[in-house]
Amino acid sequence: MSFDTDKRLFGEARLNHEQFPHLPTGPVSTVPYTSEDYLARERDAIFKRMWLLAGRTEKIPKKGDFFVKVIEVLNTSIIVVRGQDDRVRAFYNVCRHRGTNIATGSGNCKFFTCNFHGWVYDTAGRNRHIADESQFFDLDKSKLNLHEVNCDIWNGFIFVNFDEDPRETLLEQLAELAPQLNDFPFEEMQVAGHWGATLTANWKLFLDAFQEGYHVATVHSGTINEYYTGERNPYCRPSSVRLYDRNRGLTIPFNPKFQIHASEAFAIKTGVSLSQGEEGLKKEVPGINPEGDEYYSFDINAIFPNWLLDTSIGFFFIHEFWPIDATTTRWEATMYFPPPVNAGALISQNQSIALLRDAFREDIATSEGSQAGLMSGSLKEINFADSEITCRHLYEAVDQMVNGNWHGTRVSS
Amino acid sequence: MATDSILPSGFEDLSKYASEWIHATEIDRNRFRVSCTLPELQDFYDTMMPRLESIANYLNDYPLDALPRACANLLELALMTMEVAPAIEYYNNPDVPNAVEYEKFRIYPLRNNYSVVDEQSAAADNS
Repeated sequence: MSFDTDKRLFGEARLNHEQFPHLPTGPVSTVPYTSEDYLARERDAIFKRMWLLAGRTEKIPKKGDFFVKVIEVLNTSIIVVRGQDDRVRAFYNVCRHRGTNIATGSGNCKFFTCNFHGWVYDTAGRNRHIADESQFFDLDKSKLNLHEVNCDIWNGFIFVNFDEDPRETLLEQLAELAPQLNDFPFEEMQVAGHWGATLTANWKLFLDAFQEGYHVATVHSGTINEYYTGERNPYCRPSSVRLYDRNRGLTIPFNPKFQIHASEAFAIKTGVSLSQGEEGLKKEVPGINPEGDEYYSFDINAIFPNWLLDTSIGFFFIHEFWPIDATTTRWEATMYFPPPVNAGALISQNQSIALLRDAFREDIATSEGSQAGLMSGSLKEINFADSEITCRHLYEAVDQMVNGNWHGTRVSS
Repeated sequence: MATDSILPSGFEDLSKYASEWIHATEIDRNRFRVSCTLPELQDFYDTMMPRLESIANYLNDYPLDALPRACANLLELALMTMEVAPAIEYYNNPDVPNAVEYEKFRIYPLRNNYSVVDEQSAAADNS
């Protein structure tokens, strides 16, 4: 497949849907963005069944390191722990006695002790001690281990699956996105920025704000707009789109006529920058820019159901969208850079961190307003443009999962 | 370098910023930025930006995990410059306009990528 990028960026042809004709083009219903009943169906068909992001392995590098992950839509939290045997496991954060949470936050331990009555579990989840055990009736301690949740790792990303018998392996779920990103140097990077907000917005509506470029010229008119739009791509269309089963990817190009500012010039010279333009393209990074865009800025990789793994030259960032109810979502964003080798590299990273963080504050500003509009009931349908094909694809993939007619390999109409 | 100075020699002229502009975390730097007026930010930016390269060159001679306090102060002024930069270069405003309310947005604390060596105890160990 060859790409005529300029034609994609300002021609009148709707080339994304031409490339993926199986996706419908008509209006979509607002119900999936507003209904508690629909979220309940998403919970059963998607969140209870699919591999969900729990975190990164570098968060728990040593034996006994653990963190707790709250998953509101499943009314639970889990403990993800690196056992004394170096294996990473996930458990329901629920004491087998009377259900109390046994861990919070993150840390390192040899044993988890419930602070209600002192039951003790080791890092493999085995029940190791029941206080005053003789007073129970016919207890078999060996059958009262922490409930384990399926856990698998891809490229340092820890996933969990709450289905007792998952229908797909993690790699099957990631589809062709896994081979595309296999060699990206995720393990060379660490968290350099972490931000969050819980807003009144449906999780898909919230996610959609981060998976199209159509909003850039307006939402980011005060920040990063000029880096992405300009006469070559006035509406920040993606230069390419990829659909991988229920996952998707798109490439966002930069504006070749962008005039860099002093802080960016410093960052480019000293390290890496979000707005590094052609300087960045001199570096070879595997796993990015699949279509070879000559003005490549970054890829948005949407991993079904609820997170984005955005990769670029020398850094990546993640967005997670966790539904709390149909119209409330907890968003977490983390930015990753290589550990700074010196002060200059550290200073340079902070240029992108400050700018990206502020741009994210713009991104999430529209979500509550959109949700409020949909809740008014005045709008029954939403129209997606060809450049919003990723929002369309998420809608279709979710809807087909919820209706039990997922076709296995492709979203079909 | 005198251990009792706030900033390393060669950067003494920046000491006028020492009492207010040195902050160790992203949260504190952002909070301070949005509390400033645009002219205050502009003055800091105009002074600091042309010095950044020489600051980086100076600090690059020190290991990030054992910075003398004066070097850490200088580093934190440079980090503050990057925090201030988008306000000057893009927004022309201390905070980003048309963004979600400041109170609704959370910056999580992270462990810093540098640490300060306690020079007095280091000197005592050497004696």
